[in-house]
Amino acid sequence: MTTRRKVTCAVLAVGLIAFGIWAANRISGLSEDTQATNPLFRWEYLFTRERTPEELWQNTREHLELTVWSVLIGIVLSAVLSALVLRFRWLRAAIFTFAGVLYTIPSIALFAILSTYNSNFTAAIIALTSYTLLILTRNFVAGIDAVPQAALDAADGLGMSRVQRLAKVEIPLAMPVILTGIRVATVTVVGLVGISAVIQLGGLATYIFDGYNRNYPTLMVLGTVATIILAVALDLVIRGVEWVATPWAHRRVAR
Amino acid sequence: MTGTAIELRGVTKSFAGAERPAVAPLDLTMNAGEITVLIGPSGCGKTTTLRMINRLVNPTAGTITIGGTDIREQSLTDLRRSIGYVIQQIGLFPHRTVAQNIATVPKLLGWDKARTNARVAELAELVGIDPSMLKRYPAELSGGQQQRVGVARALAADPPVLLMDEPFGAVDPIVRAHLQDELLALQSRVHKTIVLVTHDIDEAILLGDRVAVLNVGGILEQVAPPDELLAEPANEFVSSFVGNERGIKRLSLAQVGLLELEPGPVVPRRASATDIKAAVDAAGVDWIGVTDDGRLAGWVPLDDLDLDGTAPLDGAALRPVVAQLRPSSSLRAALEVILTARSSTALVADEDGTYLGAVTLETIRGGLAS
Amino acid sequence: MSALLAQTGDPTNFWQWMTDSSERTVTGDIPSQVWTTLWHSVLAFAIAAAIAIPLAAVLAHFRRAEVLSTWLVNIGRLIPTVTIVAVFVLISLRNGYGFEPWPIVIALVLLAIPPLYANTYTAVRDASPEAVGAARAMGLTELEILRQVELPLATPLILAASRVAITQVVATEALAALFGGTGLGQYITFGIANRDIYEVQAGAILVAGLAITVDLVFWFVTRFLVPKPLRPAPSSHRAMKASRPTRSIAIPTPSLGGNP
Repeated sequence: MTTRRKVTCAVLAVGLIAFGIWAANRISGLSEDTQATNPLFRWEYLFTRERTPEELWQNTREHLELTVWSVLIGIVLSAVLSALVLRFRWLRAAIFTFAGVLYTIPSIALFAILSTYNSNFTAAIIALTSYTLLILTRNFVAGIDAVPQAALDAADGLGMSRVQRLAKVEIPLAMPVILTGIRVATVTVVGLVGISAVIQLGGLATYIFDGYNRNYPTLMVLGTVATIILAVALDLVIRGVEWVATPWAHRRVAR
Repeated sequence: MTGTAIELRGVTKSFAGAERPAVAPLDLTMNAGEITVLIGPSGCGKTTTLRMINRLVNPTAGTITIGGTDIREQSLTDLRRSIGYVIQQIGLFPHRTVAQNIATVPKLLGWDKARTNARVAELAELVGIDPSMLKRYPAELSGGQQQRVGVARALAADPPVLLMDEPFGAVDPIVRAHLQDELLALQSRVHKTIVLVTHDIDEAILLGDRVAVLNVGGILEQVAPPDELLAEPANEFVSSFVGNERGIKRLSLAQVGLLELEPGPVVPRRASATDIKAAVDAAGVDWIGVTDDGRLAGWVPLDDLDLDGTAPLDGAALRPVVAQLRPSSSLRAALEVILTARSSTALVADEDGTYLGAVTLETIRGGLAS
Repeated sequence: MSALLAQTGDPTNFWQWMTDSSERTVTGDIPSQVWTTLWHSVLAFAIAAAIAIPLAAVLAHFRRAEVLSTWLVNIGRLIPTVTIVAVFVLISLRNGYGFEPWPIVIALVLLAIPPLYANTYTAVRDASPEAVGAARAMGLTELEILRQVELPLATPLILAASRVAITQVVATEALAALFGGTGLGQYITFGIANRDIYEVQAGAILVAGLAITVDLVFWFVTRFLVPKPLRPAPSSHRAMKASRPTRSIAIPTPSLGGNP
């Protein structure tokens, strides 16, 4: 790890510990009835209210369900679309424009209009999936295109069949770009799930709207922070997958 | 000998939309166990021809047989797995370690782990890769090391045929010279049938047992061993392609050991002043070389000697012989040494120092004339 | 919501809703809502562009703050848009500021800055190093190089990024309605609240339509302003050399964050 990385980690660690100590200080001695000195965020809502963990988990689960399903279906569809683009180059403009138009449609509009024809959950999944198509297809295609021609020529010359070449050479070498695309798509969807609150879903963003409607800032803060934490967590998880799956991409060059 | 012969008969390749075929009907035989070099200007179809052998390009007409079997009788992948293939850009798989790269074809053929590992270790030693590098990824290797791995990968399944397309083009000249020497050493151990494409005539002369000169459009102008190519080019195209310095290039093919060496101004340490004077006069130089028990020990300028006593060389301070050659040195190296030596004379000794004779410009000229 | 499908009553279809204003619950007519959304968006975009583009261009030219730029992009991508809007509404409510228009405009500015900054930075940084080197050798000052060489070369990417940014802004503006703001989003939120299916559809189509229109306008402007030689080439050729993954801030074709 470079020095810069180490310093960043150290600073973050120190910051988290300091925050933890400060928070623990605030929390100790509070009960549900106590007026916290900071009306912006009532710690007791988070730690002493009985139903909170369950509700938190429910919302997180809803958020994750929407995210994971959309990204998975998006990956499958994008794989198909990418295969088409790679096989029939002339489809490229059409497919990318199509995905681009879907991407341009504001999510709130897409959620709204789809929900008039489907159940809310289905509408959300369809909308979220359509947003992943552009990012994923573009990255899948770019990843495969970036595989060095020399490696492909060598694979052919050594006697790999087309399928073997795809599975053993092209896809593994395209992995960095593909995984980056999946990561960006996932984080994007996490952000968009919040907007599905307009059709009574919303995952963790439900807290934001509840808080607004009931004039209870604590909930808004909770929703905001929780969504960000979820996005960061998923981002880190996929970065971890990237690191593990492509050891060859980050070795030092010893020339 | 583990190679098999390759025969091209009437092989033609035309690309759609081109007026003339890239490779006109070509008849060529690559002998078993030899290095055949394909060389020619851009557009002569040498790479296309090479790639027709492992069917990366399919001939429009004609047949290619390896060891007597038409290449179309095998399945495509079976054919390619039985032919080694090395390319200029090396093409190692960046996502696999060196060992995994080398093991590619054995894995495709279904070898078991033990056999594969043994073979990888054997090849690493053969091409000169340190075993510690087997776990590294290609990006961590230098260009020369990468191409060595490329060669090892091509040889992994012990194919009888090895195709090389400008294999040393992507490395710097010093590394290239090393790799060329190593290829020759390798070939002396494994005796594969190697087809090598290059555009460098010096490389062709150095490496080829036979060199095929192709003209634009795949026309075979001449195929012959390099010395014959240099001494008797078939036509104007070949002679201009080979270049003007044919005589000097031929020098690199012949060896000092084949020359008739002169006795040279060299005497045993016990020699008398008369013998010294005689040797020096015969050679026309102002220094004398000294041997101990037949082994070359050094030389002394005449001015440093006291020629009046007996055994004037006893106790004389000898200087080391810098202008020294081995019997295996090429005539070109000999010429290089002579040009910079004192009195334009070089002394020849073999590995254990036994003095064999002297070489001058006259000696070389005499050797070429024969 | 699908229960709404069963609902009958006035108006009987979408077009009727659009033309007959008596049934609507939103104050003001359609054009004025379109105008509200539009000028919120354009204002926010203009402010964001005025901040992000010059800053990014200067920093990129002098090769400073590269780490900061990477982090800015990552953060911009990670924070959901709803959150940004919510935070600003929250602050404005707590402090008693009015709702119009600043909380929403500032939120939109914050939204637009990361993509504009990142893509401008990359575009200027990667603008033909050979041309820059030649200019420097010819004796142009640093500022002249920036203005006469790097910015013109970076313009296609900056325009492309602007197109994406402003489309995102228009789309996010609709979210203001979720927090009691004005603009086209109101049709959607009111429609859902009142179970008026046609209002919802109309609102959705209006919002989407505006976003797509803005996108097309900018696409057209880009085509018009960028001379042919500078248009990004369609990349489908495989690299002949082994390619090492390069460090880059943004994905080459500009787009960051979701379309809210």
